[in-house]
Amino acid sequence: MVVGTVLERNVDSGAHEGMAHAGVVLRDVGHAFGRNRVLDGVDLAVGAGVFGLLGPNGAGKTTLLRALATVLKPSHGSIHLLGRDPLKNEDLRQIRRRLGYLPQQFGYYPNFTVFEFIEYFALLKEMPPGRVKAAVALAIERVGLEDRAKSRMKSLSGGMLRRVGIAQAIVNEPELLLLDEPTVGLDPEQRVLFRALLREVAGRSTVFVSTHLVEDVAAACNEVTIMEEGRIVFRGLPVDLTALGEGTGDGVSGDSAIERGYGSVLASARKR
Amino acid sequence: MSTQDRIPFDPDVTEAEMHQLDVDLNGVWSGVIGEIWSTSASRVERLATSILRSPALARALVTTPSLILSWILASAAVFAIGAFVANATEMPIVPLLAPAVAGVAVAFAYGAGADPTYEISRTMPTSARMILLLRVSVVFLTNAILGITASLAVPSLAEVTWLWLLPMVAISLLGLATAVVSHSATIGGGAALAVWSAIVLANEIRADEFGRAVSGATLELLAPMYLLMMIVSLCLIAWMSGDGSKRRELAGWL
Amino acid sequence: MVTRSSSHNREGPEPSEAALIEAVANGDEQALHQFYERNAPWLAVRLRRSLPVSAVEDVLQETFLAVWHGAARYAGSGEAGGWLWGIARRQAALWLRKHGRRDVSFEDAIGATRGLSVDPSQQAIARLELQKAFAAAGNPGSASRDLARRVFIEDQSLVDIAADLEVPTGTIKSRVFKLRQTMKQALGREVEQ
Repeated sequence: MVVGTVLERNVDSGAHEGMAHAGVVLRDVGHAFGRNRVLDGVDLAVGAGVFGLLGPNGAGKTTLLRALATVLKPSHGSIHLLGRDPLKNEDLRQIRRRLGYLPQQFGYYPNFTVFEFIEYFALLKEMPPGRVKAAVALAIERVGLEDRAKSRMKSLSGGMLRRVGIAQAIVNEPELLLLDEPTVGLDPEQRVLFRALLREVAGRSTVFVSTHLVEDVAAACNEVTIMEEGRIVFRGLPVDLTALGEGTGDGVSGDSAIERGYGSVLASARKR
Repeated sequence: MSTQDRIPFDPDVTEAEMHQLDVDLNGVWSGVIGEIWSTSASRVERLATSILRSPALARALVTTPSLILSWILASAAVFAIGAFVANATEMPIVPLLAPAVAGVAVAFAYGAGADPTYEISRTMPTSARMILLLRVSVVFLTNAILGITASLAVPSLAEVTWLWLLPMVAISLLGLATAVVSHSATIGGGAALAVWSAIVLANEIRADEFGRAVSGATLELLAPMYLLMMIVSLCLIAWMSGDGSKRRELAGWL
Repeated sequence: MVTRSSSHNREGPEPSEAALIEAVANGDEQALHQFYERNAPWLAVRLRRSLPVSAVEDVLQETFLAVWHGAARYAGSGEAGGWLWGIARRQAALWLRKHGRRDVSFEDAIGATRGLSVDPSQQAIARLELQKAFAAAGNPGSASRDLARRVFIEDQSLVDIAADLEVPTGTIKSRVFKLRQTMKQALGREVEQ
């Protein structure tokens, strides 16, 4: 399909850049839960930047993020993170020190204060002990929770909890940051602040943001990847997706051009 | 307001010097507010930090699901009631209870299903195996101490050998292994309870004497079984809780 | 150099230094942040003239933590900048002592005082004068030199000095008076109180 070839060209150039930066390299990664193929032949090579992950429920976004977070080992294919091999114990430890992960379901200890909670993970990430308090304070300021630093976790609203989750993910200034639905529960103003935070944090890191809010992706991401049924069906710039959406007629739903672009990509992927 | 009005007028300090300053003022502020926001660790945590020489492990220990105060108090209460009943009726309640209580507690020292931050904890460089080992040891020791204290409070149990510690260890390890394999503390705790209950009942039916399961003779008889249980459980735990590729293969299935 | 601005801007006119310190004494973290933003830059410059970067950062942190814990003791006594500089000097002295930098004399390290002109040559003269004054106080290690250090560098109160040296306060008072006279004579002018 035309969509595929245009993007394959983008993917190729991205791959060379990715390897140079030793960000994330996935080769033919697949994973199955029993007979359910959740990931199917994923090839990806990226360097620094913010990468949006879009797709319907069950497309495999969460599984992909879990694989990148070293929570899950895929049943086949190879993964290299930050130039290292997570199958080797010492490499795995080094990767995890430079990793930040926010899962979709985020559990917490109700009686910890916000500060204590983030501090716990800063310690588990083996940050130098002398730098922990300052790093935790900075993370709290970056997500705008200064007023709640000493509040107990149980007193926080859903949006605030999410922001605590983001704070623990960024506390160690990770080189690989993985956020699964980070903007759930955030109001529009907070989402704008979050996008600014992403741009600030991206720098020399590789950031993956999985979301079902297309406009989050458009505003903050360098590149968009769309997944469907465990496969990548689109990789390109947000403007490419918008361009696809501008040409569509009736039959494809969506309020904005980029949403229509998203819809048309999914539609053509399903026709295959 | 102009800059001059905001900063205390100080002729000693030049604009040039301010621009050339190489001090990380933002970083220093983070340090200041970090100290203000932090709370000092509890005495228990500080003790653990100095013994373990790692603040991370100390805090991981303090957050063990089955080491929270309410849990320990509940276990203590169970043992106390057991001791009381044992004193009154001369039945070996405490040795009968101990493996069950310990089994459930140890299974709940495992993260999944019990520790709300389990998912994120799995991405931490601090070895999950180390944390598990630490938690399990402390939980078991706590329950063993409670059990021993309770049994010392019952004079009629004086002649019962302390061999009942053997099923306590075995059942605890079984519970843990089940928890690790099934990825659920609840299933592990349930398995510990179920297996121990089965053993107790089987012995009662066999001899129609309550508490036969923990009599000296039975314990000696079943010792090989318990040892086997322990070895198999340890192997499963070691295999599954590490970060090696084999374990992660099976974990992929889960 | 510009510090992160407080996320909550105050409405209306900028509060005075004294008002800020009072707010800090009441536990207002934002007030501390504002106070920090206003004062940390010039404090840092002053300290940086004689201390390495890491020392300046440590001393700044300890200084503002001391402000947080001790704001109540300010009670409008004199100029806020002077009060703050006094705290900073004390912390710097403590830092030097902790890091065993006895070879660096405190007088040299923390010599710059307020109210001097910007001209570097003037500053050099001022430092020499200070050294002269301290030299007049006695030889290094002598009791009077130690007293001079405590009073002028570490800003210890007379009561604290008396307690430290286990000598009645009255005795300290008269010793300090004599010291001031000596130093004044050496400089030929008033010594800063």
